[in-house]
Amino acid sequence: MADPAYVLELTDITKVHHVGEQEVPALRGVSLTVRQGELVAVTGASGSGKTTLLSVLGCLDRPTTGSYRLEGQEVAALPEAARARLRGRRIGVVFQAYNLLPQSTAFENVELPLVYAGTSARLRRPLVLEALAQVGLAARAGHRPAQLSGGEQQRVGIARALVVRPAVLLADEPTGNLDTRSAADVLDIIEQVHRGGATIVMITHSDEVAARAGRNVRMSDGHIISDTS
Amino acid sequence: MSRLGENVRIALRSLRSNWFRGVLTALGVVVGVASVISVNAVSAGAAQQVSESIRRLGANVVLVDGEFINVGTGQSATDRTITPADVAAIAALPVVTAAAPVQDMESLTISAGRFQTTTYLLGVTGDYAGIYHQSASRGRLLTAADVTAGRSVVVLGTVPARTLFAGLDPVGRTVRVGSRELEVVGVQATRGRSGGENLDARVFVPLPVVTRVILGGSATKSLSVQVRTERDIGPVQQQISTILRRQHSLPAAYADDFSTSDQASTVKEAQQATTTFRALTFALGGISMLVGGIGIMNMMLVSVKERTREIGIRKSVGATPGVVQTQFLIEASVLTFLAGVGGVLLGVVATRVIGSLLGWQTVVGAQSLLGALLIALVVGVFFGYYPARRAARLDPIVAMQST
Repeated sequence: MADPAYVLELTDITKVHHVGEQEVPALRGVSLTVRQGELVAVTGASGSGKTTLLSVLGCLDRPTTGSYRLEGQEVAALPEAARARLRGRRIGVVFQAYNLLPQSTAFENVELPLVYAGTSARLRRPLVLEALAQVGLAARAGHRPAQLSGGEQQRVGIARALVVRPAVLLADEPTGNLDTRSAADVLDIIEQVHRGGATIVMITHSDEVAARAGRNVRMSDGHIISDTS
Repeated sequence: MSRLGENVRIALRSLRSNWFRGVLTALGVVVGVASVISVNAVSAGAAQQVSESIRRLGANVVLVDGEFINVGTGQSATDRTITPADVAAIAALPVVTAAAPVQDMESLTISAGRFQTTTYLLGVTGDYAGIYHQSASRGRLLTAADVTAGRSVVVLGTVPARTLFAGLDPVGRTVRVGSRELEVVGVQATRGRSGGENLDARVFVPLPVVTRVILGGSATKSLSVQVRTERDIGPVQQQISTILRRQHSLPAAYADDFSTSDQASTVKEAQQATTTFRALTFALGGISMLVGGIGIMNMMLVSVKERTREIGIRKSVGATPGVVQTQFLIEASVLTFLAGVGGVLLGVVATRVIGSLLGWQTVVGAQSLLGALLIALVVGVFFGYYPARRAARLDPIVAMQST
């Protein structure tokens, strides 16, 4: 039964990728629960299935079998339109490659999820400015990604993920493309967001980064091999 | 901002970033719309000309022409075969709504003071104005009372009115025809040309003034017979023929000493040729739109491919397949709509040029402009559908990984 304390509940999730004729299993029965307010670091070698896990958690991909409850609602089998709406309203994703729209300003990038969520322009403006202030970029709202440093771009990415006040913030190697200083800034912001009560699942290959999280999930070959708090 | 406004804004921005490609692609639609508009304008102009001539020639009118009696005995030109008795017999036919006998005199000199001009004079009755949609720009037209009383009055066409009175109001003044003085009671409103004749160069007097007073006699050269509907034209020509042969006591072996004709039908045949031409050029415009539409589809497919990553990002932050599809459909429609506007402008300019170079009458109707824009929009939606559908079906993860 759904436990209201759990934001995320994965039960026996498998995911098989089809590469041409071949079937490549990426997740081989993953069960994981995440409580409200937890900061979970997922580590593992490349190919261990952590990015696939994040795609499933982010409703970007559908698991082959298993159950996924997001805030108690079964979402594993939802059609694409419903999953898109969940992505826009209940989930924030921060990508390693930032994935900002290059033609749009920082403001417009952060505004995008609100546009798709149907928030009126009048209500969008204060929310966007607040999210940008939260990542220390209020002054750079009018800049395009090309005019921002890597660290700043990633902070715009975080603001975009936070602007809808999602149930969970998912981060896929958020510091993977950054130099040490920018990486430290971004991690500081993520910790600060966590202290504000957000539930966060962050993928990283760095043990150092993982050590700063309260909970550490280690993956290998499509399985969770350890889960320590 | 509304979702539609947002989408139009996104569409315009993406079109602007690749405006040259957009312009080239849209040219097909521009040319298609422009050609449809100018062809429509030219043929609408032709149709208007036709209906104007039909109006001038009179709708549902059979013209009965009497011929000279030139067999043997030296009869004069005044001996026309349409007699008042003939007119009365024809007017009594049930399908006939009006019968107007006309006696004319060509190359007649009329004068006013020291001005004079050569004119075409017609002696008419009260029915004439109704049949030929004649109206007065000054004063009045001839009335049945003028005709009955045989008053010495005249209605001038605009050309003699100008020549004889040079800017003065002719109404109330007199003109001279030979030794007779006629009082000008009105000026006929401008009618234009018909079959090479300037209808504004005519002057009109009551029929008896020509037949009794000037020529002496009572027969007339022609008779205009108006019938109720177009369907009556054929049968009434038969009936008129029977009546006139009997009235004129023509033996069966003799040819008719008159002829009947229906001038409006000749004009209508010309109109049908225009209709065929119009349909043909519409087909060409349609083909141009089709080719233009395929160009738009190709460009949109390229655009979807180039923006795969953008689509992935939009989907990852909550854009549903429907929203993505709508965005691309709107983009295609905005492009074809702008092309439609360009086509309308080009079409209007081309129509003006054609009109002034070839001297053709053209009519650019608001309906055809709106229709062309609507067609352009439909082309956008139709040919944008497949690329938009492809964009909507992209997998967000795969799309975001593309470069």
